[in-house]
Amino acid sequence: MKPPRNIPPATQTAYPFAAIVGQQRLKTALLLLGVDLGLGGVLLRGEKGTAKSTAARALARLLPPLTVVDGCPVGCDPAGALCSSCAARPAPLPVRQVPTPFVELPLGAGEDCLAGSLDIGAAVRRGVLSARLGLLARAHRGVLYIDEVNLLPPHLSHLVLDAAASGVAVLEREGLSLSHPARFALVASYNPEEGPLGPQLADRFGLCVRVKGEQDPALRVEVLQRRLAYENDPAAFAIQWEPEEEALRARIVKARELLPHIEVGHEARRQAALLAARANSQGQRGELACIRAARALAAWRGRESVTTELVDEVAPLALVHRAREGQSQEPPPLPRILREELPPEEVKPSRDEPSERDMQKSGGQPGQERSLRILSPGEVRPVATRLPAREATSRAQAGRRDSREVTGARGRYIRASSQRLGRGLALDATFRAAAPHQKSRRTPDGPALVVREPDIREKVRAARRGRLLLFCVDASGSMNAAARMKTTKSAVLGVLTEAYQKRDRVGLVAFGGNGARELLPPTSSVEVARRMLAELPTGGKTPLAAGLVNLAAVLERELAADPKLTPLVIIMTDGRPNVPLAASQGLSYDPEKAGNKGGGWGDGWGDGGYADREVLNLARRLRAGFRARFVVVDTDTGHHHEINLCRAMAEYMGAYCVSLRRLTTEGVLDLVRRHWE
Amino acid sequence: MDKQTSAKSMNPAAYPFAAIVDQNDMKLALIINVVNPKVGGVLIRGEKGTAKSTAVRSLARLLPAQPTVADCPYNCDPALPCPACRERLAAGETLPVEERRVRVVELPVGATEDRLLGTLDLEAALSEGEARFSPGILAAANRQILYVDEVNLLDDHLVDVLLDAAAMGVNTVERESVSLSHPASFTLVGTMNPEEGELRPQLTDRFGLCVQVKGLADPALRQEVIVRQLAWEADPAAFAAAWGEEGDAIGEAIATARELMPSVQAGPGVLERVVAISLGLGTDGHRGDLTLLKGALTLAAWEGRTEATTGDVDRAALLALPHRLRRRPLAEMEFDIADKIKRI
Repeated sequence: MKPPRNIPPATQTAYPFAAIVGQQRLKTALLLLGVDLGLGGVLLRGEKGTAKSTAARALARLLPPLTVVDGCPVGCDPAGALCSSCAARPAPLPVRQVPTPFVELPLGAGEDCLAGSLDIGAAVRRGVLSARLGLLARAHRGVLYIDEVNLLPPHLSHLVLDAAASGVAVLEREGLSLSHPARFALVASYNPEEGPLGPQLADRFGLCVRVKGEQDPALRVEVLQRRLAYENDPAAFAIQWEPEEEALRARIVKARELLPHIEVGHEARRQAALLAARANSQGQRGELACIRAARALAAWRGRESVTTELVDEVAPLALVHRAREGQSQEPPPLPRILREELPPEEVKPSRDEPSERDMQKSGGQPGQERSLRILSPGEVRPVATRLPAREATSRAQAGRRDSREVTGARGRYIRASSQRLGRGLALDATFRAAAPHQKSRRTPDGPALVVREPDIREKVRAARRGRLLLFCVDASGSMNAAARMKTTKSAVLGVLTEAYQKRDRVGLVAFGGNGARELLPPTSSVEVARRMLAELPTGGKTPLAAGLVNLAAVLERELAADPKLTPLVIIMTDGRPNVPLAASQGLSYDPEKAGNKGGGWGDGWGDGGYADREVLNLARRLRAGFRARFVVVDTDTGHHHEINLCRAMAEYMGAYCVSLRRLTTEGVLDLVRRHWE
Repeated sequence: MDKQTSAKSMNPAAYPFAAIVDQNDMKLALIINVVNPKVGGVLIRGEKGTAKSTAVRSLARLLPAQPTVADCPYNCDPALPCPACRERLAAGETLPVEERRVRVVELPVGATEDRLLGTLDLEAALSEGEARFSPGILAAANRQILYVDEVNLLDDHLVDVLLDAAAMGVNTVERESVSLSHPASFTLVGTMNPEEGELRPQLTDRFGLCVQVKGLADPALRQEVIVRQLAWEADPAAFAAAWGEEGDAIGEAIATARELMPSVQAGPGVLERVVAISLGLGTDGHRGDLTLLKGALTLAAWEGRTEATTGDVDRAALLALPHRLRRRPLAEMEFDIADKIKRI
């Protein structure tokens, strides 16, 4: 029995586009894409369960039916660009009507299914080299949807984006070399909680929408009602909404006709360039996307030309994902470590009143304002007088769950290789390799398929990634800052050179002056590290707390991308914080209170300055919040009289504290080797 | 056909569902799911040895048999045939139908991608030179219960695929020269021991309900467990017979609730209550709302009513929302949300 291809439409009616409640931006972006497939795709970014994939499916259902060349595997438009096989056929070409295809790229897909591959059956039985086209061909003139695009292997996402940008898919493999038109509406979605989408990838999408759950109770009830009605009887629900769907559909058809006649004037172009520059978007993609989207919007509204107002209207969609860090209108979200409340303390501080914890629990909404208050000078509370017990369970498991190179049968099958290393047979690739030779190899009574030694292909599987090492380094203007930074830099490069084949990555956060900066986002490239660390800023005060917060943000991001990671964090400082977090974050604070030294907190650590106390609070949060291994390197040269916080910090983090009076690259490398298992 | 059903099948003499002591949340969550599979599965969190898999297996035995196309690799419903079977009907064939019990199909933690999704059929490729599909565990699980022990230890990409299929009710295969989709609509039951690591938030969210099971604290109950366990071991048949009546009662109640399900309506204020609780507890997205509502409707059906009340919503929230609340880093999941709900 031969299994059928692509079943769903018969069994499932997609949720109608017109019935989506609220989500105006989302709908606008998708409609613009429907008007102009050349927009370069829409990226949907949002929390789980916010109708991202529902909307993508609904778009395919909404788009008008297509006239295609009958019998064409790509579904060519008889009036548009033709694939090679259609171009070779005599005119006039037979045509037929089909619904707009909706093709979903599953996460488990392989490259051969996306781009196409050799048709094994044809090769074996007829000895012909012919292609079995992939998803890109099937998506031609329709909607290609990728859910969780941030989890897609990079080689696949680039393949899709190349096709989306050029409108052409190229297939070059197994002796095949062909190209066919592939113009499709690309819709991709991801949940930032699950890890970031690389900036290069994000930049290649035309538009981007941040999708949020509806917060208005009345609208939310409406969402629920419609969804329930839909699930109870999808067909009836669809019929009920058909008039509205039809109206939208007609409007798209009209807008598509109008689109080529829309004028884009000088003013509009200038406005787009201006906005793109203001958003600090790199390259020309930003303004191009603005103009294209504005043109589609003009067509949608039945205008004749693109006005600056239209450009303004679409700019948020076209530029939100291109704004460079530090320049975006929205402040970056606070790292989780500051947003959330401290876990209840296991050991009560001696001065803590019994009611205090309850107050903290019940008071207000957890949010930016409130959590900052916890750490702001006036509110800093003593932590435990003794250290809480180690969380044995999470750490004991750490080694076991570390993800490494995969040699066994696990991991994702990414490609086939003719190299013989005993990795498991890649059947499909082996057959494809054998297929073209069948005509000559086959004997009358022999098997249908003759596979010879050289045809054998093995599966190459990929695990997620190697290990992660993060340096958090004090770049403040103390005596040995320059030496510290230089040593760190050569250590980073040294680790990367050593780790080159292990796919390990190294990152660097530095703090100095009033704040902290991620000087080197985790990378496995020696070249990138060398370039990013060409300049090493030093000087100013010691905002250790800001450094730890920045470190937490990096950890949070990296662990979200790969929860199985157990990063090693090396913190190098002389342990004399003197900038409270409020100052680092540009908030007002009482300098007198912040500098109020003396008195202590009763746990024998620090002298009671708020900057000190924040650091210890953060140390505790870091330990509770992240599965990472911390090492504190005390670089104090030992001639100050103030108390050095390194050892205290290490204890609160459950970390090792090492004193390195004379910093050498080899010393740091040694440390890394010792603690990195 | 045997190849694709090699997943562990049901033990013929399973411990009776009705004889499981306490663990009422878990039992209720399972029942809700079998009454209304649209609820979207249940994630059971808890230590080892808390009757998780016993409960799942024995519950399956209580379910009414369902008509099934006998030789369809996807166990499809003759009243709603899969496209392959539809093609056969169109070709004038008569589909062989038999009444089959729901099975518990198990996905072992060590399963490979090919086993889960299905893969290229080696035999067909060799003998006929054709790239044909050999169905995997997802195919076998269609219309059954798919049980994943230690779902948190499953390879990430397998969990992705699994939950994709669970959400859509369809398995789409695009690999190894195979390109097709087939029905894969199953009741997903996952278990995990949170001490061995968490499940990613996106994946946790895809489970309709979530319950926590604990070892019993009450010494009397613990004793009862031992007594029953010993009785069961001494004479399984007699034990099963002794609990047969209660089991049948549960089975009948499930059948009745299933019939009632389509006519259950949301009573006054129910939708508003659902939304108020979701907003009040700060859950992400809309998936929680929908599950909560379905849970409440199903509870009403289970109790033989045709109208769900706000009380049902409050009770369903205890099962539908714990895993959707924002949490502190590494903090335990909160299951005691009854007070919070009451205050909303």
